[in-house]
Amino acid sequence: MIQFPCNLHNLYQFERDDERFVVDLDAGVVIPVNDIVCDILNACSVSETEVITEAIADKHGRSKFFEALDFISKLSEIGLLFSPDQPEIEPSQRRDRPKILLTAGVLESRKTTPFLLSAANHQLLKMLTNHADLYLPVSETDNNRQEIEDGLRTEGIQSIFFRNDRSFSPAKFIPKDCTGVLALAPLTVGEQVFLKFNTTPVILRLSNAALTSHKAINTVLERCAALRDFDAFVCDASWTQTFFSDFVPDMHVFHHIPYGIDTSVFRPMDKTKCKHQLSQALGNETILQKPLVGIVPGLNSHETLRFLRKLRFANPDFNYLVIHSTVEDNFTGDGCVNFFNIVSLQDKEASPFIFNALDALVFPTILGASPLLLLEIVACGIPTVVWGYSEPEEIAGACRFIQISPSLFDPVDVPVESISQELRFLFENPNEQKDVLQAGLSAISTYTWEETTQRILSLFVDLQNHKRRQPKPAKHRLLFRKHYNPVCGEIESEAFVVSKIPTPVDMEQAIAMTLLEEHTPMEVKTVLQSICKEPKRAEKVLGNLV
Amino acid sequence: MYVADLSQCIVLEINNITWDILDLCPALSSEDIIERLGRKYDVDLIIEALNTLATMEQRGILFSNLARDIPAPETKASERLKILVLQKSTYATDITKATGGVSVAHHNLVKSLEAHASLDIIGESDEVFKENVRGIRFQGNDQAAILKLIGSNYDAVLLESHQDTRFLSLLHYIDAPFVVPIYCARGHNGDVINAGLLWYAAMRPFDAFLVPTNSVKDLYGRFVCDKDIFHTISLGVDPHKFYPLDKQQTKSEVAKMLNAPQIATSPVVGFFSRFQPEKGAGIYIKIARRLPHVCFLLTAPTLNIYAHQQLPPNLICAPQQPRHQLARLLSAFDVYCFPSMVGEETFGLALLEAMACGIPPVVPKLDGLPEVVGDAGIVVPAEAYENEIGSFAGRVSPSVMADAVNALLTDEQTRLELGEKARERALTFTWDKTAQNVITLFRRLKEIQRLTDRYKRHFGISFTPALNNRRRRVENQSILSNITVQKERPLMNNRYAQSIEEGLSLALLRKHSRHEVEAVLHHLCGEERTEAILEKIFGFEEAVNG
Repeated sequence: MIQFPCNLHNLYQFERDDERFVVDLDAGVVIPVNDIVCDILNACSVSETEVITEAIADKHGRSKFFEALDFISKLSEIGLLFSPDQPEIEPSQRRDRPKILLTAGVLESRKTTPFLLSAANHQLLKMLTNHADLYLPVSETDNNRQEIEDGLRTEGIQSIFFRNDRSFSPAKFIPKDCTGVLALAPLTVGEQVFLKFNTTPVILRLSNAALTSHKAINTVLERCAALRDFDAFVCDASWTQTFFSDFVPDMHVFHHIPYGIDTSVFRPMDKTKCKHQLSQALGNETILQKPLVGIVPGLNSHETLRFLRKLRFANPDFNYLVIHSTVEDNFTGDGCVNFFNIVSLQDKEASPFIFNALDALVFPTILGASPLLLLEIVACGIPTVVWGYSEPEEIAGACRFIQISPSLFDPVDVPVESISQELRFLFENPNEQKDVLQAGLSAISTYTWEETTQRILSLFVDLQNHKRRQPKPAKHRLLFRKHYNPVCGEIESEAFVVSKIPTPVDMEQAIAMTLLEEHTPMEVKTVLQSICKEPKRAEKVLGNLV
Repeated sequence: MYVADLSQCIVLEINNITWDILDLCPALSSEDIIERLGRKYDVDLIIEALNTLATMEQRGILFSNLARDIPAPETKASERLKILVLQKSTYATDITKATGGVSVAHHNLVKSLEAHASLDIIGESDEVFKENVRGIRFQGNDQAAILKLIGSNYDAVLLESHQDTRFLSLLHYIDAPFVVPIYCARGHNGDVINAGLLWYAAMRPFDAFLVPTNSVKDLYGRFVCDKDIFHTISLGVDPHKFYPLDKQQTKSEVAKMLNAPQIATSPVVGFFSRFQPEKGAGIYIKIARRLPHVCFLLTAPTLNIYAHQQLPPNLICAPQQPRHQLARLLSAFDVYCFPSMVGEETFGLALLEAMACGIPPVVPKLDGLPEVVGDAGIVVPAEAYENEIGSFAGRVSPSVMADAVNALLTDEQTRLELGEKARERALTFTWDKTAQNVITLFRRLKEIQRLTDRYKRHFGISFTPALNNRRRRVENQSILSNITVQKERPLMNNRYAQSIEEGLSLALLRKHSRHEVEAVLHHLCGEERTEAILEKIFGFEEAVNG
């Protein structure tokens, strides 16, 4: 579909005998036109295709509108109406406050509130409302409509009501002059659909806490595939970026923006006092007798259980406290291991005290482990043993790191033996312990919520600029055809660029060229990997084009 | 200052003098204009402007070459179809010399269509040939000329030959069914088939190939999936130009004309085509050597290479005859022998013309020849090649052919019976019938076009890798999102996973024809799967566009 805005030729419209004509003075032709074509031409130098579609299709009907659009694009193909150069659009009057649309599974008619309860998101949104206007779509049919609206208002978020039926065009609830869409929760299928033919920049904030299953990873891959040049995937963990780099051909859409840490809350405190508090709260005195090791498992429940048993067997001299943000299972039944689940704000308030009761932390850099916990616990001055696929950039050099090789399908091979050794090493060498925790504290000091917020806002600005400057994809008219080979008498397919002298193009390259007009490089890579007989060719073909 | 020529879709920049002249010229002569404007402008400048305008007039710009009193075709017989004819050379009322079969066929078809439709025939200038036959200026692909064709609302477009691929791009712009004849099916090192396949790739569901016999359909049916696009319509013969004459009298006249008395006394076997190896010249000479008592009379523009070799004494060459006198020569034949192996014999117009003169034919069982002969002649077994060698589509045995000719010459009764049958059969092939069938085809295609969905819903398709832990591998898939380019959500679910090939086909259909998708699939997954996928994809397309 033709992408507006476009620079128009020197056009002049006139009417004669009830017929309308457009004179293209640059091309020297007169074009008989109808009302819809006129309406589109009047709008297309300043507005985007979407805006025009919504305005004109509603007025004249969709089918007539798209017929007119087709007519215009045919004329454009023979060099009429539009100049090839990019329009110089004045950046819309710079608003002091950007407008950001939040998504929260809106089209699935989910409850809109749960994600606000996630403490980190709550913090982020609170900071964002200081700098931007936030909007959240809410289904008109939601029973708790009023309640949700009131709740959101107290958070400083405005509600946009929409009717979720099949004729409804999602583009309609994007506020005018919207800076971008911020998806804090993984996008639902409905949202994915709704973003498909939109040109508003989208930031997908990918939280590791949600990446515990193949299904979740597949969802992320699906969303990755849809990322356009002016969208961004923002990971909260450096290791997530590393993991997905195997799939995404162009990593510039990936950004790592860590969470902020409120160091006035998460700070080293009196360890003995905290241990006593925890022991009282849990009604468990043994906590005071042995070193307490915090475990962030990042695994599913049964894997966690297996890991804990092994660890306890290797090191019966320690107490273990499982700190997990989502899994609801209670591991206490297994003896000495306690379980602390942070899902609510109340938990969050208690957490600095609990973290301070720890003597060490075991943390994995695997998908499923939330870096927020790592940063918060390190901020409390707890020395850390990290195991996983890559060393965490967040606290580079400020932990004892154990590398394991990644595996896509096998259960994670937890290096229990090495973890035990590292723990013992830490407990036996107080100086080393001190060095690690000091390094951790100094690394953490750079992470603030203000910083996170500013990075997200400036990313939106970058994306907006990128979108504005983005060159239109090179459009070639390609023709795919069958070709008779007189030597063997067989049919072969070929493709060529339609021009005065047709230029043959390799089939795979032609498919990629066509797809790149509407699809992202990652999607094209996926297709090429499936259709190229030699895997290396996919990279080569795409490399030539992107 | 500009002037717009609405009929030519052209805008010109003009000066004051030209402006004034244009105001006056409908009523005044050049002299009067000079006199009138002489007071206002320098006379030399007026003359210069008049000369410029005269050049424009010659080119058919600003001034219409079309006489005013000719009513627009719409107002006269509104029932009549308005057909655009795309041909190589300008319109000619008659062809005098025998030329290639393609030109003869096209010329006769156009002539006979004149009685049924209004024809716009492209050429060098706008002119009126007959009440319903107009010449339309069309030179190359200039914008104004294409615009003019886009705006003309033709009912159908008829091409001269499928080998003329320079008109291919017009398919993209002219919204009327194209009928593309294949008079010459193969040969020329695959170029002929490939020109056909090129048209096939670009054709829309309401375009068609016109083929003179089923043999062409069968040949192309080997290469393409959509066989319904081929419509068999026989060509014709003018029974008033080609008719039987008194054999003995004709023989005597020809004998006298060629100064070859043996023609009057011996049996005569005729050859009437270009005298070259592919057309069977070599075989014909061999047959002549086998039957020395028979007179072999040929009429051809030249003897080509055979002029320089020793020809059998019983081979007599008649110079090329004007078409209106051909019957006088053909009637001197007792048997018409046409051992053509060229693969271009989609029909055999010369064969039909000989049959119309009551001459029983002997032809090989190759290409379209047997379909024309039917039971009104001898069809000799021949070996048809799957793929040509050189331009030869098969092998004809000179001795088998000679035996058949000899048998017919010795059996007078059969010969005469077959001669009568040949005339009777030829009379069933008239150009008017051809024209009527073509008109029926135009109407049918128009109906198909009417029923073809104009408003096509194109769904959002994305391509993504996914982890399949059941099979322990990364699989690529395409996702059909329930959102169309037109921002509708017609399906019941939001997301459907499909194979890459299916997704790719749907994605390509946004900009490419069904036949192009066929070519791509053929390249990716072979013939059998191609057909299965196409069937599914087109079924889906049909069902979602209502």
